[in-house]
Amino acid sequence: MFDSFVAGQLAIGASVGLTYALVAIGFTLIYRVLSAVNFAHGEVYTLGAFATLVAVTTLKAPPLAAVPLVIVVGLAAGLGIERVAFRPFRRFTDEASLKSRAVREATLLSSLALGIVGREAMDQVWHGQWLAIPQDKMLNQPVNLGGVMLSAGELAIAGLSLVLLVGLQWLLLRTRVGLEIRAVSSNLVGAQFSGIDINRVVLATFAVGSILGALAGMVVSLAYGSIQSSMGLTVVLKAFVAMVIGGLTSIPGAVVAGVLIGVAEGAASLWVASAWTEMVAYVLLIFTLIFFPRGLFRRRGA
Amino acid sequence: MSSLLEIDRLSRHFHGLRAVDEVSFGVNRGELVGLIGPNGAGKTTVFNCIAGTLAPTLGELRFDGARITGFAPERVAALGIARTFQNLRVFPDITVYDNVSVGAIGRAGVSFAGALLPFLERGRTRRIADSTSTALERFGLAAHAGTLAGNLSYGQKKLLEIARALALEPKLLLLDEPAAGLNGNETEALAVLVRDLRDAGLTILLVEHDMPMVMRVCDRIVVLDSGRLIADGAPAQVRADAAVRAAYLGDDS
Amino acid sequence: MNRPLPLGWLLAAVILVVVPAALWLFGSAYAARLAQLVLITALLAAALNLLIGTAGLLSLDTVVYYGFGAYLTAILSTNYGTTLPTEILAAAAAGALLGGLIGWPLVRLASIFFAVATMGLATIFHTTVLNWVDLTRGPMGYRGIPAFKLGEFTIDGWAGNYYVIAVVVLGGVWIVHRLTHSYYGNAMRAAREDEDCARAMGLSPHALKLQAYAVHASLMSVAGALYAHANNFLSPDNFVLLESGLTLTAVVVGGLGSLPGAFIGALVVVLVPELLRPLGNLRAFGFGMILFLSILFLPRGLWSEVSSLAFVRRHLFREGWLKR
Repeated sequence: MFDSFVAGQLAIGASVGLTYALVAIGFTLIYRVLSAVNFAHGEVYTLGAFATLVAVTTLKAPPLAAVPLVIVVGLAAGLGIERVAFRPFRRFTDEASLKSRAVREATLLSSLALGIVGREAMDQVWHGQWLAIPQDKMLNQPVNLGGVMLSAGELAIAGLSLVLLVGLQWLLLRTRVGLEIRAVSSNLVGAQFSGIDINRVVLATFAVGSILGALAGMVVSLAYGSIQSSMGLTVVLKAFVAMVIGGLTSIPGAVVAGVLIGVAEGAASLWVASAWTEMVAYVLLIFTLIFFPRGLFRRRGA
Repeated sequence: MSSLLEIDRLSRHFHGLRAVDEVSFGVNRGELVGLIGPNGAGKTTVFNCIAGTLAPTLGELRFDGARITGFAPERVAALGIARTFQNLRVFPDITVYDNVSVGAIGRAGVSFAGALLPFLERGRTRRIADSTSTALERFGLAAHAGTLAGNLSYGQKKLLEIARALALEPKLLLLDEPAAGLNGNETEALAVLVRDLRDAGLTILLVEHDMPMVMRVCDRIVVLDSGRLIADGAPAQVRADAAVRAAYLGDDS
Repeated sequence: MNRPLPLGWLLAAVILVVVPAALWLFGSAYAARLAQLVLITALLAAALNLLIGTAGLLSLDTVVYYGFGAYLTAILSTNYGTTLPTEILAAAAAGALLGGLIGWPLVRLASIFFAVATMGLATIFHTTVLNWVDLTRGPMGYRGIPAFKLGEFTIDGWAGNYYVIAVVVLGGVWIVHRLTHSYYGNAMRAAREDEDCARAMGLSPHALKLQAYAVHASLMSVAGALYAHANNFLSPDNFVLLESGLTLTAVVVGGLGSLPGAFIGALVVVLVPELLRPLGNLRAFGFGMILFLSILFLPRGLWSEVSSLAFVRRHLFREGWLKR
C-alpha cells in the first residue's frame, strides 16, 4: 500500500537527515584526526546560513552565486576555530599528548565555550530574531515526484548532499591532502615519520569539515527560508548524535545514522505531536548505545 | 602438598586458532612456579584465563577447591588471586599511598554508608590502613607515599605494582613478566624479592622471559610451546629436557 | 585520609555567619537572592565534581536531575502542602532512584559516548517538561510555589530562606567531601584511571560509577527542590542544556576535584553574568567567555591558585613568622 503523504514525510525526513549527515561528517573528520570533538561546529552551519542571507539580500545575488561566499566563510570559520580553540592545546605533537585525555577534554570544553560565545555574538548582531530569506530567492517550488510532493529545496538538499559526499570520497581517496588526512587518522606517529606536517593536515581537516557544514547551512536556509542565531544548536546536537550512533569514526556510518535520524523524525511526526519529535533523535541514541555501546559502525582497529 | 590452583585441560581458541590447547598443570600451596615458553606459546593467554580477563573456550580452573572457570576479574581477585601487569598499570594521577590502598580496598571492601559514617566501619578502615602501610614499608615506598605515582621511576613503579597486588593479601600472586624492562641489577633485586615472598609462604605463578632468573628462583617450571604443555618439572629437569631445548632452539633468536 | 578540614569550618563560618551578616548590614533582596543562587549552584557543582572529578564521567545532564527535583517539589508542595524534610527526602530518594535506573545502562559507556548520551537526556528532559502540560504546566511555567514549610511554620523572608538553603547545601557538600576523601573515593579514582586494573584489584567499576551517578543525581535533585521554593516559579527555560553548561563551567573554573573550588566556581558563574547585565543580555556570552578563558589560562582551575596561597601561609605559620 503506497500512501503518498507518508512517503512524503519520510522523504522530507531523509532530506533533513542528509543535512545532519553533512554536519556530522565535519565532526567525524576532526574526530578521526584528533580524537577530539569540535563543539563549535554548529556555529559554522549558522554562519553559512547568514552568509547566504547576506548574499541574497544585501548583495542581491542569485541563490547559486552565494556558494563562493559561503565556502569562504566556512573556510575562515573552520580555520579560526582551529586556531583559537584547538591549536593552543597542541603544544606537543607526539601521539600521546595529541590524543591524551586532558587535551581531548580541554578542546571539547574550549570549543563548547567558543561555540557559546560565537552563538551569543551572532545573537547580539542579529538581535536573536528569526530572519527570512526573501520568497523569490527561496527554493520552494513544489515538485511532484511520482505522487510524492516535495519542494525544490528539499531536492536541492538531497542533491547537494550526494554531490558533496561523492566529492569528499574523491578528496579523501584521490588527492594528496586526502591521503595525508587518512594517514594521520590511521597512524599519527607513522604519518609524522613519513614527513607529513600534522598542523597542515589538521588545518585541512577543519577546512573541509567546515566548508561542508557551511554549505549545509546554506542549502537549509534556502529550502526553509528562516534563519536564527541558535539554529545551529539543534542541528549540531543531532549531527553529534548521528556521529555517535555511526560509531564516531566512520563517515558512511555518520551518513547512514544521520539519514536514519531524519527518517525516524519524519515517521514520528506522523504519529505524535510535532513538539515531541524533538526527542526522537535522543531516544534513538540512548537505545542504540544500550545495545551497541560503541555505535553501529565501528572502523576496525579504531 | 595440596594444589591451590588446578588447571584442567584448559583451551582457548581465537578465530579457530588454538592459542592454548588442553593445558593441565597445578600450583601447590607455598610453591613458586614459573610459566615459560617461546613467543606465542600461549603463556599470556593462560595467565589471562586464570586472572579472568579471558574466558576459556574449554576446560576448567579450580582455585582452593572451587571452580573459577570464566569468573570476572573482580571475582577472581576477591577470592584471593592478585596479579600484576606486563606493561605497567599504576594509576598515574593518584598518590603512591592511594595506589597501594586500592589493593587493600579490594580485599576489605568499601561501602557507601561506611564512607559517609566512618564509625560504622572503623575496623575495616583500620585494616585498609594497616595493610597499605605494611605493603608500603615492605617495598621501601613509604618515603614516597605522597608522590603521584606517575612521577616514580620505572623500577619504583614495578615495585608499586607488586606492593599494590600484595595489599590485596592474596593466596596466589600472578606476576606477568615482572623483569621486562629492568636492568641486570634491578632484575637481581627482583629475584631476591620474589624469593623472599615465596619464603614468607606466598604461592606465586611467575610468567617470565628472563630464563636465568626463572631457572634460579622457581621451585618448578611449566613450559608451553605453540599452546601445548611440553614440560613440567624442577628447573634442572626442564633444562635437560629435549623437547624444551628443541622448542627454544627452533624459536631461537 | 580523613584529614580534618579546618577549611571546611572556615567555609561553614563564612556561609552561616559572614555572608548573612553582610547581607543584613548592606544587602538588598536582590543580593540575598543571588547569595541563595550561588549556594544552590555550589551544590550542583559539588555533585558534578563528584561525577567528573572523582568518577571521571564527563556529564551534561545536570538539568535533568536538577529539574526533576524542582518539578517534583513544586508538584508536591502545591498539591499536597508537604513540608521541608519530606520534600528533601523525597527529592533525594526519587533522584537517586531515577539516577540509578538511567545510570545502569549509561555508566558503561566510554567517555565521549557517555557525554553525548547525557546531552541527549538533557534534551529529552527539556522536551518532556515543555510538552507534558498536565504535569508541568508547560511553557507557561509553574507559578505560585509556596514558601518553605517546617512543620506548621512557614519560613518567609530572605534570612529564613537563606539559612534553609545554606544548611542543606552544606550537608550535601559534606556528603561529597566524605565520599571523595575516603577509601571509597580512592576506589572511585581507581575505576576512573584504569578500569581493567581496578577490576584486577577486586573492585567493580560499574558498581562504583553507578553509585557516583546515583549520588550526583540525588544531590542535584535536592538542589532542585531548594530552587523550586527559593524561586517559587519554574519555567522549562530554567532547564535547558545551556544550564548544564553553566554548572560545568563552575566546576572547571573552580578546579576539578576541588570542593572549595565548587563554591568559588559557583560565585564566578552566578556573579559575573550579573555584573554583565547592564551591558544587555550577555549572560550566556559571559559564561562562555569564562569557560574559554579558564580552560586556556587556568587549566587546573582557580582553586589550585588559592590553595597554593594556603600552602605558603601554612609554611609561614610553621616558621613562626606569623602567630595564629
